[in-house]
Amino acid sequence: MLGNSKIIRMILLGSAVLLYQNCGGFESTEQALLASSSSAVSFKCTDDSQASETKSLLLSKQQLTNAIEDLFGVTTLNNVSGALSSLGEPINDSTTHARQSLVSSAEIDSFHSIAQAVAADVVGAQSRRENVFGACASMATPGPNCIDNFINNFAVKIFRRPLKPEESTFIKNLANSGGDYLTNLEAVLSYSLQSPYFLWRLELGEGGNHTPERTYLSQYEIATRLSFATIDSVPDDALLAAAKQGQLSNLAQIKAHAERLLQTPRGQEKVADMLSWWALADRAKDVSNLPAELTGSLELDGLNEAMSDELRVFVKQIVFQEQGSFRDLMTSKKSFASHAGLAEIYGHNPVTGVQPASFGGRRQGLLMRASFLTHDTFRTSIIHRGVDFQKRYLCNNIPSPNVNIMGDRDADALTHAELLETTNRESIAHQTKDPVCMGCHSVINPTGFAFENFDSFGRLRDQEMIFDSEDNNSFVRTLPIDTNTVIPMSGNNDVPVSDAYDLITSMVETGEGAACMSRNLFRYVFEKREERVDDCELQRVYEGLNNPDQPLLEAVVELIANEHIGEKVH
Amino acid sequence: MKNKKLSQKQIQQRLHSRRQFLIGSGYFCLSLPPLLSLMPRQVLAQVAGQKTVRYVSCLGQLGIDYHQWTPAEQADLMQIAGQTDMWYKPLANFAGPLSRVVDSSFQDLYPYMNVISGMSITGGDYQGHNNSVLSGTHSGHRSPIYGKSIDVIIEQSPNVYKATDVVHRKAIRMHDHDHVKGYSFDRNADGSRAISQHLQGDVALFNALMTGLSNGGPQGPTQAQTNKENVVDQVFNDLKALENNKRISKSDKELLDRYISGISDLQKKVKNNVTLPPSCTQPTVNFEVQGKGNYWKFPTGSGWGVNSIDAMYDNYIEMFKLAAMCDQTRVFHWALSRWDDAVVPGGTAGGLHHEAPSSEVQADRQQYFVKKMSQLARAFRDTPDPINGGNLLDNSIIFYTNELGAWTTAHNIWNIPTISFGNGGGKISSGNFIDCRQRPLQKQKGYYPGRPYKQFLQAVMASMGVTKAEYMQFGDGNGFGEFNDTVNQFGFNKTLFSQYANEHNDPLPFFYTG
Repeated sequence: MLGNSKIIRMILLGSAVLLYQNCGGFESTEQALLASSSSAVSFKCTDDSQASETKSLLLSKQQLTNAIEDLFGVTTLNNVSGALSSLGEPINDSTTHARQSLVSSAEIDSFHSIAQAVAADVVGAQSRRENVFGACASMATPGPNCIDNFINNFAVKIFRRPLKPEESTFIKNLANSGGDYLTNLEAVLSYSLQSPYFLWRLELGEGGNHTPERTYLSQYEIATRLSFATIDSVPDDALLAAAKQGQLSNLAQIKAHAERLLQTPRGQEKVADMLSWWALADRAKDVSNLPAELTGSLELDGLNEAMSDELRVFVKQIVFQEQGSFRDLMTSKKSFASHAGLAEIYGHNPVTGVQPASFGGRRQGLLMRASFLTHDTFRTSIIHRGVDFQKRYLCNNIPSPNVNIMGDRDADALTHAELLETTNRESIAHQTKDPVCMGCHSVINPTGFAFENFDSFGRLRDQEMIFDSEDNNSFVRTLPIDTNTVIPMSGNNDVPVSDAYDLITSMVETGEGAACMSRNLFRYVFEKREERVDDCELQRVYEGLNNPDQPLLEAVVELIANEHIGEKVH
Repeated sequence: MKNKKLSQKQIQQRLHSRRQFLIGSGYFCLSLPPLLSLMPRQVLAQVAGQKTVRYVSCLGQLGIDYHQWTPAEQADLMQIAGQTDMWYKPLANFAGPLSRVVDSSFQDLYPYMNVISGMSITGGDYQGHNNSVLSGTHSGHRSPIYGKSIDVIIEQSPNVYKATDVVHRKAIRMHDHDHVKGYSFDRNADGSRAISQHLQGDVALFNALMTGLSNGGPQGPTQAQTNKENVVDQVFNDLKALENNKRISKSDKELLDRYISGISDLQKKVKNNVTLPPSCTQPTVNFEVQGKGNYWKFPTGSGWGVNSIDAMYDNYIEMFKLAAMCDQTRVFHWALSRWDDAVVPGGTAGGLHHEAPSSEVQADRQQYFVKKMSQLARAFRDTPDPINGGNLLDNSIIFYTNELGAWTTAHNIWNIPTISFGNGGGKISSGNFIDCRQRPLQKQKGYYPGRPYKQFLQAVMASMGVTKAEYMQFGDGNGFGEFNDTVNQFGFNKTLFSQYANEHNDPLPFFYTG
């Protein structure tokens, strides 16, 4: 056995302050904040009129899928699923969620193919055709003005604004170009769905009061920005009507629509998507090959899906049903696990109705759910847990180790024989003891240690089961778990915790969690990294999140319907 | 909204640090997408790997007894390497007629043919009609209903019809009777079946398929092609106008530039469609259908007035051939159903269901349609392929199959008749009798279990360009179709198909070579 936990804690405490300055730093739009006495909670709002650049984005696959369903119905969506499958997901940075704005030939071909498929499906079915083009489109000889139905009505939904004269002229000429009328209607719809005004979220403004740095959005463009931010789809009829009537002219009007849209099923899905992303729900590992002695009687079939599904139900319950706060989200012990395996992990009987169960033991909130905790080996990943938690939930910039550091780390790894007598914590502490490693691991390790009372399934434990990886993962012994540690947080605040439960409580109490979440909500909604000039907005969102009496949903509304929703900064 | 100009200092603060710039550049370089206009010309030829392949399925109701369509003499079969239950013998090595159904008249097609025995539906626990057969399931009679039929999957695949392809119709489906048993189906939003639309008669086929061809005048682009070019041109023009809009930011302009470059590539692809031969003009057809009646009365009931059913089928075949050559569609599905004897030339009594008096009579009636498929195969073989080179049969997969593997009342879903023609664009081997019955040969209640039939369908889809990831979406949740290794057919409850658990989602080996 290697020393005891007290010695390790002393080493960590002593080295953390010195070494931490060599590893990343807590997110601030001002990197000088790193290792200073300030807290990452303190945003530096100096000029509320400023905001970071907004780039035009292509519709993501999810947004295009939603738009097709909302415009043409689920039957069309199903019928074009083959064409849609050819379109890839956009690439977003894993930490900042910033959209990598790249365009490939394959992507353009896919947009073309999808437009063709939708057009063929809609025009080919009488009811769908008449819904889009009007009843006259099904007549034996539609008149030359039949296409006006489309130009004046449905096309406004696709283009998200009234058509310009040149667009109307092109469409009218195409529809009346002779030959088979329905073939021409297919071309009209295909054109509309390939138009950059449909596929791109373009903001060109209207009127003449623009500056080289800033464009002021039209009412229709505000509607579009609001709609994609709340429901990931095109504006609905109410929003288009408001834009037409100039009723998106002040924040109160805009916020009312934001609140309305977020309450829709698609809005709720968007919030669930957002918080699932923040909670790293997609990181659940394959736990099907862990040793039988560790697995026990745990039901594994469908476990990963159950983790993700339960998390979404939990989010919707707290955010929408209970109008809960950020604190509620982080500390609620409610569980909706109906899957036998997941319920066992969470320490209760499977939920059979709508009433939730309660977590057993020291587990609370969104971030102590199984998907974040799982690992595909019997030894949990202290390093991954530590890095992920620091980066995603405390907004600490932990860099990837370079090859040399990894070499140092591997050189200090314990032998196989030593590992059989060593806890995971002791092993990692030994492996990363080199001062070069400790530059970052003085932060990473304590965070990971705090979660050591969760096994690779995310089950609570007080004993670690040791297996022999060179003997068919046979069981060797159990060793006691130690989760006491000291977590370095921003502003050189070292927080002693007895386990991850304390860590979560601390990040809520100190405001560190709310501050980091405000940054992550910003990143998710706007698909860009925040900049210094966004601090005023982040400060407002943070204050909402950090207020235990304010519903989290209000902070989301504040973020989306913000001071700058009517302008595009170049 | 507030309107304040940024100071120069504020603007400068926005500039990326050198480190940020390098990181950004790295992402950009690593992720640079392969825009066509940036690629050397020789690369463009390599992109087009999949040939344009045509699909024809002909499906008959009920089935044919095993011994009526497979070789009577099965000595000298050779084992296929690596397979315990796949044996083969070149068709050319069989002396005389292969079987009652595949008689000597097929011999000139042997190089393009396969007769495949043992194909079994590996799902369901019920003997009964199987109008789900083309989805690789036996779920039509019970809940849940799985999958989609492969003609629909093929029609909807972006790898079969690419973005730049212009065809008149993506699929044509003919049905002679009993529309609801058309065997071709998609899914409704609620998961229920959406039976595909079918056509009846040569007039309907002409109107659906031949109107895309010019009417004998000078050859020019079709209306759909012209429209498509105009649309992409207009999108290009819209983007160019947008690019010049003074309110487009510098970073947005860079993005649009790349997008415009991609649209420019799309313009070239749309305009570089295959030039079809001058013979791609509307044919003159002597229509056999003179009237129109209720679909369930087709083709002999009151109102239809079909002169000669045999001549009408000949019209089908000529129009299929012309449409394949002129790329008017790539998917043909011809579903057959229960006829009275007026339909089957030479028939004497009863229909094709329980009414046939014997196994032999049933086989003879089904043979009529297998021979019609061979007639289509010959027409394809004798027609140059203007798109891929070679002949149409080189680049087609035509198959005849039934819903069941036995005649009359047994409703066995093992050993389903499976006879193929064509090489699927080089991805289908041919010229063989392939025996896929399980070894050692052992009848179960009089029938041989064999390999999953869905592997044959998967091979057909793969030859068309449908990827495994695509077809895996449509089935019981474990892949395409339905796979139940403890199927309880005929009262057995044993692991009949367990040996295929790891490969049932792969195309049929040996037959599929792609």
